[in-house]
Amino acid sequence: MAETLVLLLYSQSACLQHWRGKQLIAEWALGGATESRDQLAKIIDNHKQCPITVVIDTADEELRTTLVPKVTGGGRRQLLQRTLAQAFPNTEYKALLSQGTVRGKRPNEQVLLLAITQSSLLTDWLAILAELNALVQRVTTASMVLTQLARRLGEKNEYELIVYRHHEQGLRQLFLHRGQPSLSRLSVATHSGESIIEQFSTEATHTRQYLNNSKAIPRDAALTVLILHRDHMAPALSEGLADLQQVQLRLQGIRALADKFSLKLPTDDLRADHLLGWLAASYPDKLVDFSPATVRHEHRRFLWGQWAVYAAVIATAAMLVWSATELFAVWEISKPVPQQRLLLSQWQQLEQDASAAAIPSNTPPLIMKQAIELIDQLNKERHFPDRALRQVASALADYPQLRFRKIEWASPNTTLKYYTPPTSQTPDNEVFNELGEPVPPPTATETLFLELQIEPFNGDYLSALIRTENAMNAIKKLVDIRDVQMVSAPLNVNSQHDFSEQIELGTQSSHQKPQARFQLLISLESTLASASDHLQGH
Amino acid sequence: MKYSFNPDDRLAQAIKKSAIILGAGLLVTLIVWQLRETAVAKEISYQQQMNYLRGQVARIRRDREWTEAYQSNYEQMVANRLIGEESRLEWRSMVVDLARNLKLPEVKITFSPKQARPVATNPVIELKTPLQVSSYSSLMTLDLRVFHTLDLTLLLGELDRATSAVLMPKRCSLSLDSDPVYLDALPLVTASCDLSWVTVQPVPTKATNEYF
Repeated sequence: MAETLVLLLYSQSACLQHWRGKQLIAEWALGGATESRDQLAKIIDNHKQCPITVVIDTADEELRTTLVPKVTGGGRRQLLQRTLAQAFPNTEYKALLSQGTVRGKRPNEQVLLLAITQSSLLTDWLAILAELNALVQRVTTASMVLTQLARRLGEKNEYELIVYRHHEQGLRQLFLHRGQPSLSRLSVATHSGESIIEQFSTEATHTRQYLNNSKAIPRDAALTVLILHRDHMAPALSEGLADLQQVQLRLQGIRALADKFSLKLPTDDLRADHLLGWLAASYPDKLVDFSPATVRHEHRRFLWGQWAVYAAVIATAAMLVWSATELFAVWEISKPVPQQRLLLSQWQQLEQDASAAAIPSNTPPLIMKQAIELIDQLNKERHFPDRALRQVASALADYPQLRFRKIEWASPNTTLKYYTPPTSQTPDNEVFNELGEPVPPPTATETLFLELQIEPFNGDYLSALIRTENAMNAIKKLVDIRDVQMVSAPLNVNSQHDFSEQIELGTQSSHQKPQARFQLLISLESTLASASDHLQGH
Repeated sequence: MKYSFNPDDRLAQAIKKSAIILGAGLLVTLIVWQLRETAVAKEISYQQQMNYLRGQVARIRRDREWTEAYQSNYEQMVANRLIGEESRLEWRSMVVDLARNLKLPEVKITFSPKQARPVATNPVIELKTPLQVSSYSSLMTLDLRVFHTLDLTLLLGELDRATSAVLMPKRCSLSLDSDPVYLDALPLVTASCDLSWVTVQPVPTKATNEYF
């Protein structure tokens, strides 16, 4: 939890509080700036990293409210600074606080201008703090801290006067209009024999008169007076201030308030300064700052450094988290190492055993396997003409007049030499050999070309054709035959050549015997049966 | 403006502190990263060793199986010259002997140059393994005169049974140009066969370049 020092400056003395969150750790009463230097040096030396909030609680404070044209953008800051400089031309410690926009014909911004009119006290203390290399984070006034206290109390009164007993036996008064401070007074007791109840009554009456005269509050308006007091004074205050006119009195015990905010404060000598110290320590950013440029610069450098440290811590934390996950991964990876070593040795033993059991060979086994499988595959792809010849011979056994003249068998994808299909059938894909002759396209199955001649032939072509067609039908019925075509016959209607014949109807001439030749093209079914018959040799 | 380091400067101290924190974090991170890398490298090395050993054992066992299955056949084929260089003289001798046994008057043998069979024509044996063997084919054109059609099939059958190569007939033709009525002592049937003699060699198939 962040620790903070709060230096409360009074006209004759000072008080240094050490806060850790809501707990007041220590409190030191200091004298003047010069005589307290050594004591302050020791304290600061023990709390080098604690930033200090300086709260000046003297009478030398001036508050002015003014309206400036509503400006946005970069010109607003210049306008406000110029207004502040014009209001307090020779004052070293001054600040401003925007109190919102006032709607009218043209919008204006209401600004509270603040100045510490007697700067020597603050200058002396700041010089000592600078000399001690103390880190001052904020310089503010008691009235600004008190304004924060009023906001924390959550009271929403039109006109409110907060009063408490000052450290140096006077009364601090802060007048708020709708929550915005507009008057701050520090009064001392006018008569030495005056009681504290009489002081409260007198000052409240005087302040009411002043506010009426300065038209800060209408004469018939009710003023809420909030008195911060020690707890034992509540009955006396209620009785003594009951006669105040047009005043709505509210008494607030300091102890009760500390309990409300859960503050851990000393049990004895509880003062309103403790509440101010807590607010100054806990909410420095909400307080108006009177710090000179050097103090701000130093504090800014401190913040930069702090952010750098935070960034480094975050980055290092991220790296450590990553490292933790990586370490877990390393542990996960390294966990099964003994089992892995065991497994590795077992596999090495297996390899040795397998090597010892290997059969010596001059040729790599892969080559032997591939060579044998290649030869087997080649054997399966072979075709022999036996099957086709046997099939056709068996079919033609019933037709003894059909004698063969030419037989040609071709394995799949091999062209026939004796038979050339008509060129008009495949004009686009026609291929020519070296002599310019058309080469028929090979077929994917075995083919058999047969040229048969009718022997003996008596000249009856029609009868010969019928006989040949019967033989064709017999061939077609065979199991392994896919197709049978008659590609050539006497008087072929598709012939490209002229046909001339002299027919002697009388005595037959022995010199010119007529011939009847038929050409058949047979396609066999694709089967490897013929090859299997020839595998025994390998 | 010359900058001088002020040890009491809070920003300088904070930067120093940040540097120390970051340095410590980086150091830890680097050490852990190195540990992780070492562990991963060891794991990878172990896996590689295991994979190698598994592969070796599988290969040795497979080689043993293959050797048992194929060695005798392979050696027999090498002895028969089915695997190895071509033996054309043996093929020629076989053809002549068979023709002589069949009482054929003449045989004409025409050998074409040996050609390597392209990889694409070799049947795919094992897709995962490149082919370590190559095959060659020599085309023999056999012209002869036979007495009967069956003589040709008999001749091919005998050649296939006794050959020292894979005999692949491509085309066979028979023609009877003479008048069969007038029988003579000479054979009348003219036969011609294109035979492809395929041999296998235990060297990887070279990819043929069609331009050179």
